[in-house]
Amino acid sequence: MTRFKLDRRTMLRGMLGGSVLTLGLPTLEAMLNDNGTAYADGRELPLRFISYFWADGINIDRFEPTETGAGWQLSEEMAPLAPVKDYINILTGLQNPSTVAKTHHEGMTVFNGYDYIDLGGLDSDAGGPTIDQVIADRIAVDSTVRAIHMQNSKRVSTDGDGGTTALGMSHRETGGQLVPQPPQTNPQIVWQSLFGNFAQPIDTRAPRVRVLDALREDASRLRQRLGTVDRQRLDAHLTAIDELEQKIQAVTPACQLAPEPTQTNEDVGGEEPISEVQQVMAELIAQAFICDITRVASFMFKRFVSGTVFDEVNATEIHHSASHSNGSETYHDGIVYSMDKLSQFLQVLMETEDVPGESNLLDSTIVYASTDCSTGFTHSIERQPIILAGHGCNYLAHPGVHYQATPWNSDLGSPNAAGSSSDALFTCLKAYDATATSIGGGAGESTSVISEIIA
Amino acid sequence: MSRLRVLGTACLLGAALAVPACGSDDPVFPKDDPVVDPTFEPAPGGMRRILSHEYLRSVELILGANAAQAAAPPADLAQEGFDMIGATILPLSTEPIELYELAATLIAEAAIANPSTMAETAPCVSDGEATEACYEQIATNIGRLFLRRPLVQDEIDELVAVASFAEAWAADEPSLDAFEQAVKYELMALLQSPSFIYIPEVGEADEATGHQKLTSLEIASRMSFFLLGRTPDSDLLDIAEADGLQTVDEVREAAMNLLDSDEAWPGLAVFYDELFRLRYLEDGTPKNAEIFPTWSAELGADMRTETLLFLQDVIWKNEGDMRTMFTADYTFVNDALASHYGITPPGDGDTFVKTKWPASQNRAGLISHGSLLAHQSGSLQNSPTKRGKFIMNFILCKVAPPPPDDVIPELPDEPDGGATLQELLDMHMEDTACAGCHVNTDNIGFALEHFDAIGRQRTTDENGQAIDGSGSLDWLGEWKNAAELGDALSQFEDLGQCMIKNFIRGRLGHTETKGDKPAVTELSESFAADGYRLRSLLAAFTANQIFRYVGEAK
Repeated sequence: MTRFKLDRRTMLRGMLGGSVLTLGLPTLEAMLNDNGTAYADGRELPLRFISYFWADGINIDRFEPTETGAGWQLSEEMAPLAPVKDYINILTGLQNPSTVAKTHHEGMTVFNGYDYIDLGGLDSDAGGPTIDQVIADRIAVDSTVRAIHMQNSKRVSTDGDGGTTALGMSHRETGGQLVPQPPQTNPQIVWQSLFGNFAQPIDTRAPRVRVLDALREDASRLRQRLGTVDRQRLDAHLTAIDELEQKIQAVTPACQLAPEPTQTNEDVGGEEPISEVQQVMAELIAQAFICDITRVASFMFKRFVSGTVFDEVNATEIHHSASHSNGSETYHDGIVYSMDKLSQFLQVLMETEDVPGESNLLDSTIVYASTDCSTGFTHSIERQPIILAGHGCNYLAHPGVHYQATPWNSDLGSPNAAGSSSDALFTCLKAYDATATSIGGGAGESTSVISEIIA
Repeated sequence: MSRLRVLGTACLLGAALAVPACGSDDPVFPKDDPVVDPTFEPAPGGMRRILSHEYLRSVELILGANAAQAAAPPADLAQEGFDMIGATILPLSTEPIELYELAATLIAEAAIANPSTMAETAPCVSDGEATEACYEQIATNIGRLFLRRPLVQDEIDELVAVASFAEAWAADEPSLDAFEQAVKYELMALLQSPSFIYIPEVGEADEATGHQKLTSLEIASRMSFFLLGRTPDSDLLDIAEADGLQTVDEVREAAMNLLDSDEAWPGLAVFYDELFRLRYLEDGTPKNAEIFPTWSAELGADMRTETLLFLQDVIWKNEGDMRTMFTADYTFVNDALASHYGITPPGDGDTFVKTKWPASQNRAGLISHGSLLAHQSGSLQNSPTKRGKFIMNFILCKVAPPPPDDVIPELPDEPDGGATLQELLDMHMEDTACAGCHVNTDNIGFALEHFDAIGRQRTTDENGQAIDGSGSLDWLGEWKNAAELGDALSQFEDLGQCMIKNFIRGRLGHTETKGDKPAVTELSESFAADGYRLRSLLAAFTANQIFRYVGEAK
């Protein structure tokens, strides 16, 4: 019986310990071809994708950059992104195509291109698969971990928003149903999902897999008694068992595995450890990319309408509550803080070498980041901003540009937006599947690429 | 047919069953007696996921407290405000399935390290001899508790095969004990079994009603989770395997027995912890530190304890009229919480003591508890709308729809000379689009304005204006303060119905439907006739058609 011989040391800097942020590569020939799209030996570079959500909108006049095109400058609220600016394409003035609205829920259409399904009250179900899952369907079939879903702030909706829309930012279409992928807030559990299997002191794969076989037997007996909906639910369970087996059977990657973090995202003195969690989560995903354990992730900085207070910037109230006060400086500070945390996340990717001396993780990743409304005060979904960070192996413009679908005019009434935010989804999807013909559905369907942001 | 099939299997096993005859259509099974209302349409049958607290209580029963403390199952996912509804409708993603495996590993390791509880059900575990007979005993006896029914022979064989496989595998690992590993992986197979993680409630076609009638085993399971929050124990399964949970009287008697258990209140406390959002007091109720420097997670935890002790006293220990939860002139405080409320500390440190509210505070019952007042407020200030909306939705079961999507959520500017929040909201209510709901939520919420966003008494509001807590609504009555509002709530004609609806949502896993109406009406009438006592309600609930029948499997 083979035993795993693990080197639990790490070369990761920061929250994961260690001193140098140079990561061992699993490849022998870590050189790129002349186009930078493949290793010198012809194998393709892994292309990665992250969807990222920050909640409760922005102040349009303080967020949207003034200049468009390549000469754009960071706005007041985007200022914290300065260290990663070259890697950013910023999209403004787009119309979120949702034809339904109840506040916040419709904003999530920027992640899937579908109207939500109304359940009345403050409840809705997601209307279709999200971009991370659509991309995972294309690129993650053989991954050890198909996709990992993380969340920083633990706070839930203070207004009781419900339905699967409010359960997270990722929904997977499988077996004729949409399966919500609730994000994990505890970095130790994220580590367990990504690296835990490779850190077993004894190789227990054989009996674990034998148990999974028994579960399949059990499920098939149970299945006979169920109706259509529950059979689908059980099928989702079986799909998960298959993916668990795939993970159990995976060969330990030849890279430095991240050590188990000590951070568990528990409050300290009534405050959430947001920056610490942001760092650990980013480092975990970076290391998982380097080890090629996964290629797809979603990251929810905080949930919409959550009771999160940004204590680190001495916020005087819940960020969402502040968004309801027109002109609130607490709200503005919270947006700047949200961008600072996005920047922190992106910097970890940028500082993580992919091919030593040649590229970092932002070179091989596209991070699709957006929020659930434009102006938080009005819950408007006109001009919801989208930040695309990383160029995805020279697919997106680098250095990035500011694409503005239509200029901002504060005197203009509604509509004050153009195009469709789904075009940004489709543009990203094409980076992972050149043969894709559309994304989304209904009014949110897109078949158009935003050529201005393509390299 | 499946009932007879299960019984037949039980007999084949030779388990200790007091079944006089197997598989025959004989008169020992009492026929059902009550008339099911023809307009009753039960919610669909199907399977629901075991909730995390139910999982842990079941593990504790079967494998002991050490095992239950070893790991946590994946988190519950609420829908429509209740974990049970999420457990009934949501499919699971891959991560929770992995977490079930991880939890199973840690629990099984703890169980083999401390096998005394397990050995009560499967005595061979104490012998430590690696034999197939022992693996079969574990499958048969322990498996019956996990799966809430006798296992069929194929299931037993499969579990024995898992154990034997692990035994052979461990024989090559010098550091491992082969028998322990066999038991560990057999337990892991049970702990991860979809038949444990999901609770099927599909019933059998019942000609008399046209519905699916739950089998005795399904009733045993549903009743045990409903009343105790865990899998049925061996005694209840014995009754079910003898098909002894089919008539109203049988079900009621079994329910009354469970309700006498010490486990009944802890199971109910979880229900109220969720319903009244008490679980968010410690880390989900942020307050501005400058305005509320005395607020802390510990104080929030104390408020949660206060409300749970209060409910236990009012509706459980004393078998009181449940409406008293809105009128009681006492609560439970420790010294810290008493100081916070501005009342004389009982002097017992951290111990909670039953304490009368001073008349000057005009507090009564649940709605004047810090738990409700603090959680249903903003971080900076009170929110009469939020407090009122919570009372509307979860105490009165009146739905307040969300605001129109084009609403500008801003109050009018303060007029010269200032205005109370109430006056500003009154102006807001002049907008007819908003008034329909706000007239209800805000009127109710204003009655609690005498208490600030962390539940302390006050006389002026955030704007320095004197507070007037009076209000009235045609359908609810008139009040001058929180205590009087509590009185009005206690007399609200549909209050009992709402308590019943909350059990349908939080325990049966669906929002009440039109088809449930006859059952709700019947239950609310008997609830009132019995003096609104929780124990009677729960016994009646389990014996009611709504508990014993389901529709076609969804």
